[in-house]
Amino acid sequence: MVLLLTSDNEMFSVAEDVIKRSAYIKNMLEDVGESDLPIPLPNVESNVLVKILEYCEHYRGEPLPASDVDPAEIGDRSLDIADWDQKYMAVDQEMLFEIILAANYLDIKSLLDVGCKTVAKMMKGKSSEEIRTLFNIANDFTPEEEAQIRKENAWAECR
Amino acid sequence: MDRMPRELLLQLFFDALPERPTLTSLFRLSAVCREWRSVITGTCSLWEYLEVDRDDDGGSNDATIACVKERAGFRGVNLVFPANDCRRLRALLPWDAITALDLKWVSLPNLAELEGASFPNLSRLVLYLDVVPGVDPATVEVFSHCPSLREIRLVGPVGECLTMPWNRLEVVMVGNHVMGEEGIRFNSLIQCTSARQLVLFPKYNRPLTGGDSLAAPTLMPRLEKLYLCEKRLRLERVFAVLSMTNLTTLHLEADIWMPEGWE
Repeated sequence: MVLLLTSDNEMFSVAEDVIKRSAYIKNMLEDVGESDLPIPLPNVESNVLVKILEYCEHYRGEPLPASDVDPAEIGDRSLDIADWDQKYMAVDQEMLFEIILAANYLDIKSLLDVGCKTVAKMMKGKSSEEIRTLFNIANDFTPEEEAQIRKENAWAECR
Repeated sequence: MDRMPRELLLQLFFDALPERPTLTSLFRLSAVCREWRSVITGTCSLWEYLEVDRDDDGGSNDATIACVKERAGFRGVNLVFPANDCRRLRALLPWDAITALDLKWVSLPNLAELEGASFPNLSRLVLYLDVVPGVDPATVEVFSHCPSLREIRLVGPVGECLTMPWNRLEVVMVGNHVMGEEGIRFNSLIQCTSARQLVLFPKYNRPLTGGDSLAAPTLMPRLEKLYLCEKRLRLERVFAVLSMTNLTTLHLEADIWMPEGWE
């Protein structure tokens, strides 16, 4: 078993073959070897780790994806998401981004990929304003920058 | 969302954008906020393959072109342009960042709109031509003076109506109906003396030349790769191709036609 200590000081005891889906933890275990000391996860809160472990548990025993494959490089832009993953990602927006950030920190590529695809699907076909509203992003352009953007977009967008 | 690091934002953008981003899709995302704009404008690879949207208004495009030029940077732009929109393309020229151009199903009169334009760094051209024989202009010389052009892919009944720097081309791909009903005329192809790769691909299951399509490759001394689909090939041409010293790859799909008396 591997001990994990979250940022809010909760301790989790996790089976090694479950958490090894995280390349970060896997490498750490290989580097440090057997230890009774918990692995601190200062960037992951307990409620997020619970969700991450749910994913790792579900895919327990399945082969790990190749770690050095960048989907952007191999041109895999398909936004298809498996049914279970879709249900897993049906969380509020705050949790969705926490999962993505934790997957990035823990280096769980398949989970990061599913998270990014989920967000990308939400963005598809939306205008800049709709995206701002959807993700509560502030429009921080100066009036001059806004004017420049309007000029740039004139040719491509005016219809 | 505001805690997402740049590399994750970029992954999101790669997922959200089509494989060949349109200008509209890039501008739409880059107009969300400063951080997004900074990531999108600072990523040359997003601007490397661009598909220009069909647009009714030529409008003021200087700012658009300036920003695309700046963003594509040294990598150059692979531009996919809508059919029959050459007048608008003309307005962008000379655009030295264009290194590849993809014009699908453009009419010959429309292509003639580009006559006299300059493509100083164009190295790859994909051109699907829509020609009306007897109505369209006899020849179009738009690409005949492109100094960097090395690779072409031509589809459409071009006949001899398109002049090219044939003798500088290194990769030549032509559809079998390129030269019209009568089959390929070799006047152009035999000028491709620098060709390293020749692909003669079939369309609509029509024969390429009536059995003599290997005549052109045998006149290309540097040819390394040859792909050819044909209904009938003359046996002596096959022998001639097989004796070409630089040829490393040969893909033939054909019935070999032996002249009378051969066994």
